[in-house]
Amino acid sequence: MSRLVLAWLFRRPVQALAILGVAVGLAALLLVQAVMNGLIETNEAAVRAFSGDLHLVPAVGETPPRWDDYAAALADVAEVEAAAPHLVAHALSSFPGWTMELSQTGYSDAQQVRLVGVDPEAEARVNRFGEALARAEVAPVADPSRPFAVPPGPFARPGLLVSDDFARGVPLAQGEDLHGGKKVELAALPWRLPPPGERLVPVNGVFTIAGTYAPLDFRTALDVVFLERTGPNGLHWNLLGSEAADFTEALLKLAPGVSAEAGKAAVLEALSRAGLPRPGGAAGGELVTWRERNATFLQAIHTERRMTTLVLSFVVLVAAFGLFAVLAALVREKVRDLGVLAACGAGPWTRGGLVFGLGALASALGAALGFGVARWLVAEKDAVAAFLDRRFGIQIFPAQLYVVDGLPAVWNGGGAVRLALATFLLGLLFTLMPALRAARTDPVEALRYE
Amino acid sequence: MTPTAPVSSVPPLVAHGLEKAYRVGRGRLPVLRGVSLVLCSGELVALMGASGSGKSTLLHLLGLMDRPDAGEVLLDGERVDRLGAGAAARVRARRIGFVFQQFQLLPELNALQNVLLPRRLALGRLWWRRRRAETAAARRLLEAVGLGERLRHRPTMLSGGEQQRVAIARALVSRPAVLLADEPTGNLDRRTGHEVLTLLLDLARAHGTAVLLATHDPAVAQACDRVLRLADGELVPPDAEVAPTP
Repeated sequence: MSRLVLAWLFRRPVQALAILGVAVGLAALLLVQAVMNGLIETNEAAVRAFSGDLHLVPAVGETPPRWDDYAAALADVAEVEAAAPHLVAHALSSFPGWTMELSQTGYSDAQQVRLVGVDPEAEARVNRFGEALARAEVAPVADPSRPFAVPPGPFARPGLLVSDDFARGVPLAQGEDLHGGKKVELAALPWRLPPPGERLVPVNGVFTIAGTYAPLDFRTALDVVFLERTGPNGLHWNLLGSEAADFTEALLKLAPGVSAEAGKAAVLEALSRAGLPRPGGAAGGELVTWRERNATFLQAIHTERRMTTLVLSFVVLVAAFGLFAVLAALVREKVRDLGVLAACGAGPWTRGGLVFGLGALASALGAALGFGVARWLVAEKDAVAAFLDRRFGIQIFPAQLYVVDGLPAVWNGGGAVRLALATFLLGLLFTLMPALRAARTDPVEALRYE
Repeated sequence: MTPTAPVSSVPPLVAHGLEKAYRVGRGRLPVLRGVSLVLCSGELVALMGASGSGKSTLLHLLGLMDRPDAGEVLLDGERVDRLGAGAAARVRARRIGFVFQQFQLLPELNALQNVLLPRRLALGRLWWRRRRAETAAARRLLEAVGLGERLRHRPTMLSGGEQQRVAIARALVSRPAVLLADEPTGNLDRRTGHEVLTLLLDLARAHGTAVLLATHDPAVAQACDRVLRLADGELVPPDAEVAPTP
């Protein structure tokens, strides 16, 4: 009987094509899933690069928050392994001698930047800041423990770090390079906006590019500029003034094994003990995990994955329809043989089982083939991406649009097996009707069929 | 050649008052009207009648491929006409053989596989334990019909006469109590038909199988032990006048 099943299955090329259809549908689904998994992983890693486990934005009371108070409050919290303050401000950047003509939209000398004042040592303890310095390509800093150090001299200005991508757009004179102390001008908004109707006066300052960092998070690629938070060369002193808060958020790294919820509870309790305002109340502020802070962005990628899965599931469904059509045609074509089988002693269950077995075999072959092809393509993803680029000029993720290294694809074995199983079961479902028809074939009518 | 099987006192096939009608539009067209017959072990009976007289329908009822509207069929004394489709198929696999005018071999299987088909269906899971013995028996049967050298040939590689020999071997491989043959020589030339008929009757006698053979051909009927004539759905006495065969 197995010989008969195989002979019927491969009777015509179109039947093999039905198997191939199931395989292609499943392979496409698994491949896109793997790429979406890779994108999610890449994006999460990127988002995580300059984040802490928890982000504390202090509530603002009558007096601006001071980092020393918060540092002291958090110092004895066992759940918090390290804390790094950030002082964030917004500014326009330009270069000395250039004109910032904001009324002319076509004039692009001025670029909006986000200034992030950090304490380098503390920063390196909570995230991948140290790695970003080490991986810089355009102008790596000489001493990562003193990243903002600039060559001494009478005209030395405070140092800052720009991203490699930002640095590539910096205009350089003949023979000039970024190690020579290229100056950049920043016009920062005041830390607190004046009441409506009053003049908004930005504060200008000239800084020196001390080096570059690798933009591990694509969102920092162009517009995040790091500089010292406090001190004579810091953001607080040079652009915001002594009345401004000396930190606007803190990145907290939790001790190993501490859950986000336990960490949050411990931090809130410590702030309360220290008499500091609880973030999240009427005075504003928040205490959130890095995932919660980037929830909208991360949710968007997950939604994208769900949508692509849904769309490609229809491809598998169409392939299953193909299998159904082929089996239905086969039963119609082999009706006389079904009559012969009945005369030789095949009951309805045997005849139906024969067609069902045939459909099951086709489904299993299609699912196995699709699974295998997808697994192989994911394993050879870099070779495949290189081949597509070399042979057809197709870049799946153009470097101009996506900050990813190669083709991101992560194989989720459990999920892939579940999808392959679902495809197989779908094939079985679509086999039921032809099998039922074979079972209900009237032997007398079937033997008359020519 | 296997020795003649012992003859049982119970007739292998008995039919009482079989009736069958087919629905045609809103009406019913009677095809069989109270047909009764008895086939004894090893008996070779010809069934003659004009086209549309109900020969094939009678064979289908006796072979449990269809159910009568009235009457009963007894196989080895056991009533079988009311069996469900599955049970009827199991009875067919073990106790009834069919030979058709169009040979009805499965084109994807070779001669040996075609002959083994009823045994594969009859034995179910037991097949895997007995397949060597069954294959040997099927080989012997194919050798007996003169196809010992063509075991692996598919039906398309065999002549009509050879295909019908394979069909005869397939019908007898389960050593059935009854063999029902519907115009077995109708698709063969006279000489080949005569050879195939002789072979069929010899083998059936050797197996002690009762044969009911539907035919138009008086020469075929003459080779049998007894002739039944079917006219307008009824069996008529041998000397009665019936409409000529078209």
